[in-house]
Amino acid sequence: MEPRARARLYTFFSRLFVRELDDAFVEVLRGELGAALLPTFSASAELDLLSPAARRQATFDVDFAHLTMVNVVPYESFYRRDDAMIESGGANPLATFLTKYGFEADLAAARSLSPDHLGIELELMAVLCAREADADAPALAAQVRRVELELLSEHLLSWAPVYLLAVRRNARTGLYAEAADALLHLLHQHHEALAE
Amino acid sequence: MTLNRRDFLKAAAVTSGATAVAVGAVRSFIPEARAGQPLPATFDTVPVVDGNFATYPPFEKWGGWRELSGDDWKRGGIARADIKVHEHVLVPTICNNCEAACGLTAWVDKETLVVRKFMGNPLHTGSLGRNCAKGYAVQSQMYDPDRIPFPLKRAPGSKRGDGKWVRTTWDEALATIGAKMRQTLQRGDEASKKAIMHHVGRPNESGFTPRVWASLGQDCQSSHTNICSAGARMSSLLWVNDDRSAPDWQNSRLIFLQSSHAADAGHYFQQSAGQIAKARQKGAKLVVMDPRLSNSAGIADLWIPAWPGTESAIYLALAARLLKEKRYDRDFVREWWNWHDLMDDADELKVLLDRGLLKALPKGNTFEDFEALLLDLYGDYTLEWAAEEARVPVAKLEKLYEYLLFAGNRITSFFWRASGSGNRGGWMSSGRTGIFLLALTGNFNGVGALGQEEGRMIALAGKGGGACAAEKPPKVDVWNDLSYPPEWPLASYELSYLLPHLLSDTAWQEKWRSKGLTVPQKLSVWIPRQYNPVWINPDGFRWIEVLRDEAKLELTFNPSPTWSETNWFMDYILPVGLSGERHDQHSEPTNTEAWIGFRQPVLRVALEKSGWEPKDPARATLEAHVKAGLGEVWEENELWVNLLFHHVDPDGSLGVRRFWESRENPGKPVTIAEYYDAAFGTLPGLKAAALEAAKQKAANAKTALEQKHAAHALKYPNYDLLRDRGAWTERVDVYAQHEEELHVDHEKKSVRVKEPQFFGAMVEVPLATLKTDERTRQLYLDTSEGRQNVGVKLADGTLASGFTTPSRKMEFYARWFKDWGWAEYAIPIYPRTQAQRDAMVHVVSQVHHQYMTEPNAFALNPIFRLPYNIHTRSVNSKWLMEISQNHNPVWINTKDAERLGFKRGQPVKVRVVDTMSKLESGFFVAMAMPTEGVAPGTLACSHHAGRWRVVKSVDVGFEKPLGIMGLGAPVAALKEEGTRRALTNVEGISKLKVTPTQEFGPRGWPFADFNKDLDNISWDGLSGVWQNSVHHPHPDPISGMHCWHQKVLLEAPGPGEKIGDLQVDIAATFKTYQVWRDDLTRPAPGPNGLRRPEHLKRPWVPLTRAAYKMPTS
Repeated sequence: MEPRARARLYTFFSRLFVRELDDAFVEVLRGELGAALLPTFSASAELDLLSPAARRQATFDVDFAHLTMVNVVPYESFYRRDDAMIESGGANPLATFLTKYGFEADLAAARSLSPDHLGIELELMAVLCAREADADAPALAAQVRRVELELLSEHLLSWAPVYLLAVRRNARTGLYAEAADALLHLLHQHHEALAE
Repeated sequence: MTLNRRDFLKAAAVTSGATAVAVGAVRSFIPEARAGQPLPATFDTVPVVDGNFATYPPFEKWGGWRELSGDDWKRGGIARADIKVHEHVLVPTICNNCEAACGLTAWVDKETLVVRKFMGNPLHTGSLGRNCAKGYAVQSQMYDPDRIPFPLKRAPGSKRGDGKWVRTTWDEALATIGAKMRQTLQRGDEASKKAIMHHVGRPNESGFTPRVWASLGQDCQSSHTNICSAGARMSSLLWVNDDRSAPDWQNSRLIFLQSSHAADAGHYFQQSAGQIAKARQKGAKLVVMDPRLSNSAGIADLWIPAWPGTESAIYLALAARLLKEKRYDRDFVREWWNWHDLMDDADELKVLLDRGLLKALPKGNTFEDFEALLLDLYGDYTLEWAAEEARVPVAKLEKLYEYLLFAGNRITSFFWRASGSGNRGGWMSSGRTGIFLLALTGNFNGVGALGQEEGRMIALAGKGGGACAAEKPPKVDVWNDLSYPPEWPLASYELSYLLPHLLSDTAWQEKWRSKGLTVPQKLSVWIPRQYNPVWINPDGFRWIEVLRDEAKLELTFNPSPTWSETNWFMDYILPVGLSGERHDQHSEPTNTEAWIGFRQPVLRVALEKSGWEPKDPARATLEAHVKAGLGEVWEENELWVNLLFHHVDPDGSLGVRRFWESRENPGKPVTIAEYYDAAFGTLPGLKAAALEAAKQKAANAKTALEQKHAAHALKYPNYDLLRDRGAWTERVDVYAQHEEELHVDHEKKSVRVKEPQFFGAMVEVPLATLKTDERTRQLYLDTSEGRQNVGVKLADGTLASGFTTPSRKMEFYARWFKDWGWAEYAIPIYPRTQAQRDAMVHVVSQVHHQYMTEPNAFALNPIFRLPYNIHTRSVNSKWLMEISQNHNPVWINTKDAERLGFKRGQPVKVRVVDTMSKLESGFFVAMAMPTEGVAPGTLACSHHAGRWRVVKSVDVGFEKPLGIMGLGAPVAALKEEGTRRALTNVEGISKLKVTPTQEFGPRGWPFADFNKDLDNISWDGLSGVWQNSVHHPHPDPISGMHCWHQKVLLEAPGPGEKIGDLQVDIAATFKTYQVWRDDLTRPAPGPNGLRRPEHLKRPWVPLTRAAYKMPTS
């Protein structure tokens, strides 16, 4: 898969898990990308619930809150700390990673407690993939791929599958259940590609 | 739904159509700091104590503490070049957002003078470094963009409420106000001593302002207590003549709460909750009696949703069971109750017999006869009957009884608001019967028990007179009938919420004037403080009527940090400080220690610690706030001193100035350092420690600045200690205060006792005149006015103070109640039958279930507090507004909701009816919330939301308009037609864009940097409703407490009626006040022509004995 395409997919999932649906993203879901990534959802009657806004909110926003705030926790530190607490301070695992590679997280934009939120990690991966695509020398592209691999193996793959399986099991909408499944595919496929 | 690899690659190949856009949560930066290079700065670390990081920096480092902001830690911490290490000075202060007086520390950035955060104060032994949301929110109040930055004056030519304002100066305001006060005092007649009224909401200080009013010779210091806690305080006065109860939570085995107040919302809750949690860790049980499933009730071992006002039935039934099973503390009752007073009073016993409360007169007057009498009185109060009366399952009461037996003499409660504030006779249904149950089991002033405030609370703020030319103002020799109308001679506090009614009621004024009383018909100056009576009091439109009337209130001003509904109708609004911007000494009985806290302006102290000096030491706080960009914000200690010294009595001819003139610098006003050094120096433990600390400071001083600070400390050691530490604990383990030994001077053969006839000062009497009643062990003096009890001789012969009651015992029987015409209520009692309820209506709640005759009738409980709201001061905190969302539903039981067809989120029309006058005041429309968490037949809707403003901002000729309560108050339209008033919301809360001003600079008011997130306001405030305005005033005939609960009728709203709407007829509410007054009270004079029993002190300003005498025509 081309890095540019991969960046697009990561952006899609980052957006899906970081914030409730809005009109612009509904357009994406109803478009070609949505149909290709989420074929079952796209063919289901649930698609009709995407509008009007009140119906969308009553269906998908409730599930979003259920899966990302109330009952399932989309933070890496929650899964990796012995006491299952979200690390919101300087010891956050992703904060160290971000600093190391010259990035910082805007927690307000992500409405996040700490930088190890799934949406932020996915957006970071999208940025890396885009940089890989933009690399003007093979060495530079290879260097970015090493960073992608580190983000995958040290962070995303160490916890996101557990979270995504929980989402798939607990989701009350087909949208989020199928998206969790698709994202799992993406992560594994990406890791496979990098390992090769 | 599983995706296969082919589908997935197909998705990757999609290049057309809409694509997702990232939210922008990841940014890149160019790292300048590289591994191996030196770190750009360093930061301080807390020590490790017992294997854990200390919660706070060590005290020695409070002068300079370096750390990163929390955001910067999240951005990667110290390794990054663009991270700034801030150096702070930690200045202690005291939270002002409720009455608990928890410690705070302000972390002031030394470079910018910005308070970067407020944390707790670990040196404060009451709050132990912890705070609730309201404490941490102080920063958001401090930097609220809509706080008032300079003095405002009603525009010349405009009327009150027109909303036309101009900017004025402090000097102009003080000169105008001072001249008016001076003219009033110069009249010198009786009326002039009742003409300058200070009307405080929550005082949150321990005596300074009362000294101001005493020095003015005015009986005009008035409080909000009769809309707060006067009912429960009445019960404490009855039992032990003390203002309030003080529990020893953490050593208790049963925490038996009447409402959620102590643990999750109200009085002292932050400090109490920690202690309660500690007790539960040790195995204590928690029982919550409350018709609403509060947070506390939700985690309690037992929830008892008693019908409002029927709590007495439960207390008395439990007591009866203990009596029948002989499981009470017989020794405590025999030794410490005044049972003998009842047994010796044949008249009282006959009243009880005649009223059917007693079946037979006792055979004799021994303690055993008293025990038999208790069984006679309470034998028929069974748990089954109580369960029916309170509408709770009897099994719950059986369980509660088990807990009582388990806990023995380690039972605590706290009687404050709840039943005591909601119901007619609330003083009886709270502490009068509640303390009866606890004292029967010996639970008073012991370890793990309920106790009294005396000895655990230290009021010093009025005691700085040692620094002034004249120390103590004389007692005031007039009686203000507007504060204590003759109809309520026993009221525990002022009938302050009836001020507009009394000022409007010319017939009432004439009635008493014709009897020789000088009843004021107007006030020359009216000053609310930290008080918003228009909004928080019942019948708020009546307040608006009177506030607009310049003939009744000639000049008004409010020292207030913020806008409010009341301020809209003021002549002046003078901006004074919030929690970290004012001086107050404050002490509360939150545990079994005697601690004090010192609230102080943190920016001023931070500046002083940097070496800054004010031009005028008596205006130092104002100068400091201007310098730090806060605006022309002052504080009240300095405000009052300057007003009185320079403007009210500039030449000293009125005798006021001397109380505020510096002893150290004659001819100058006293300074904060001088005054509080004298006040704090009255505590011996503090004084000794302060001297030692000052010497230490001097010994350690090396730099010129340190030497300057050391000189200050040596000059004002007591003040300096509190300025540095913010809190001091003078005594620990304060128990058994009633057994405190009387001071006997064996050389002089004298003993010190409290002045017996008219309680107050300590007096010395010859030891030989002290007699002992061998039957009761009371110590007494024979005086020209008869026997006066002054103490109790303990079993071991110790001469003890006893309680401060007339009998020096706990008063099961209050003889003074009988003397003042309330014989049937002189003991803890509650009617058991309909006939008794009809005859004893004074202790039957106005929302008793007998009044709920219509299918849509409910008892409305409006007075539960929300832990994130501060009555009327939350709208100036974006953080508190964000977590509360200004959300204000009506809790209705699911079965009731289903029966009447109300669904969650729907509007419901609440019609308010008084069960005495039978009048309907009007209605309000609120949002229904069906829940299992409220007792059937009752509703709960907190009266802490529903703020309003009539405009978004005002133009005062400044470089930008001043916003008004933009974070928490929708814009409303008020309507007026005859005696009918209405309010409807026209626009909700919206996002704000805050920009700096030239005058106050980029960091100063309105604090653009701190408020850059106000484009993210997510609440509209439109689910709140100003229900207080529709409430009938319900003055309890005995305590004077406004009985908050209302009978209401629910129905679907009419066409066009929406949530937030309300209508009220102020003629109906006025009539209700008159009916409660005329049909229920038993007016003064009492025995000997008195206005009030002499042993009941008047709060705030001491009066002469002559003032207690009622004039005759």
